[in-house]
Amino acid sequence: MIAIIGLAVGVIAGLLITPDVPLWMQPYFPIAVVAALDAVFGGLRALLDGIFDDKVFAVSFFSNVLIAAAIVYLGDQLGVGSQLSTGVIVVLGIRIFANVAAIRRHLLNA
Amino acid sequence: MPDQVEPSKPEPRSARGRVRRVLRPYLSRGQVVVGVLLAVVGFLAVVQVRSQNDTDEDFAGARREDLLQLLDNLDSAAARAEAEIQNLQARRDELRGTTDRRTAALEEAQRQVKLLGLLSGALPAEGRGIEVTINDPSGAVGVDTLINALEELRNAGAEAIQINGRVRIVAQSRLEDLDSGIMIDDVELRPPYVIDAIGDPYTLGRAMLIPGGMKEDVEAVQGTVQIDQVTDTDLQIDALYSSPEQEYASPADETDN
Repeated sequence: MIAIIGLAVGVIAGLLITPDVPLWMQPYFPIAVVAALDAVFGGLRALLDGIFDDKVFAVSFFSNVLIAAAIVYLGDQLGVGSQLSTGVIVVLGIRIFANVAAIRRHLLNA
Repeated sequence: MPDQVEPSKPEPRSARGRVRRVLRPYLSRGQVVVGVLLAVVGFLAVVQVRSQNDTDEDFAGARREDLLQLLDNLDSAAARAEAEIQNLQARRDELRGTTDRRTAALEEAQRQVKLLGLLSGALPAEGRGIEVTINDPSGAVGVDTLINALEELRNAGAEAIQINGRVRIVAQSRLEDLDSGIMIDDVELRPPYVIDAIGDPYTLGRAMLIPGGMKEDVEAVQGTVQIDQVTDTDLQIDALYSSPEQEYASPADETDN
């Protein structure tokens, strides 16, 4: 319940405040958001599996975001930033799909 | 965890049961952590979506190389447009020059038309000049005397000449003696003869008075000559000479211009 309220509060805050994304963050921001989404779906799946742990969730959340951003940063330094961010997005997308599939099996038994 | 108000029920066995339990409003550390993190996710996602919509959609996602490529394309497009502009400006200048030359040529041609019109007697003329009246009661003044007078006027620079307001004297004018008077270009004239000539009045007047000239000829046959210099008003010469069709002569090819 509090989790859903938190999500709503975050969305509303984003709509009301509308801060500008700092320029140096621009390349990493969307990747970080996708990584965070991956962490959220992973947490939801763990909950349904009965192995949810808030500490694990928090750690995985932050490490996901940081690693995704770090990979893109490294790619930018190496000159393959666009390819690497595509790769990261693909990997995260696959993970999200897998998690959502597991959640679906739990909830719908299908 | 003493502050935890989680009911000390056993963990539900089914996944749906666990979801139902989580959705119940109760305070636990896990719920708070997840809530805060979800708030962060929602916030970041919304900010990102809005920044994506705010910025120029075409270039927001573009990377540096793409932007450089775009910039290059724009540069070359600008260069092409610049070259086009110079091309068109050169063309415009060229056309303007052509127009100027055509205008100048047209003005020159119109000037020539007026000049030739005056010379050939096709256009009326006006200006300062003299009026020579030859009274000839005895009818003894003939073509010789008149030709003498006309030649002297020409030599003195007369630019347009008419006689009795009816006949324009041009290069082709024919003079003929009649029993009582003369005939010029098929027009019969009787004395007194009034010659209007446009030119410098003083020079023309002097030309009429030279010794052994027309005046003495006329006075030798009891005629009188009256010379009026017209300087204040314009002498009007409106008799026209209509040149006949040129049957045999045609303009030769011009070698220049």
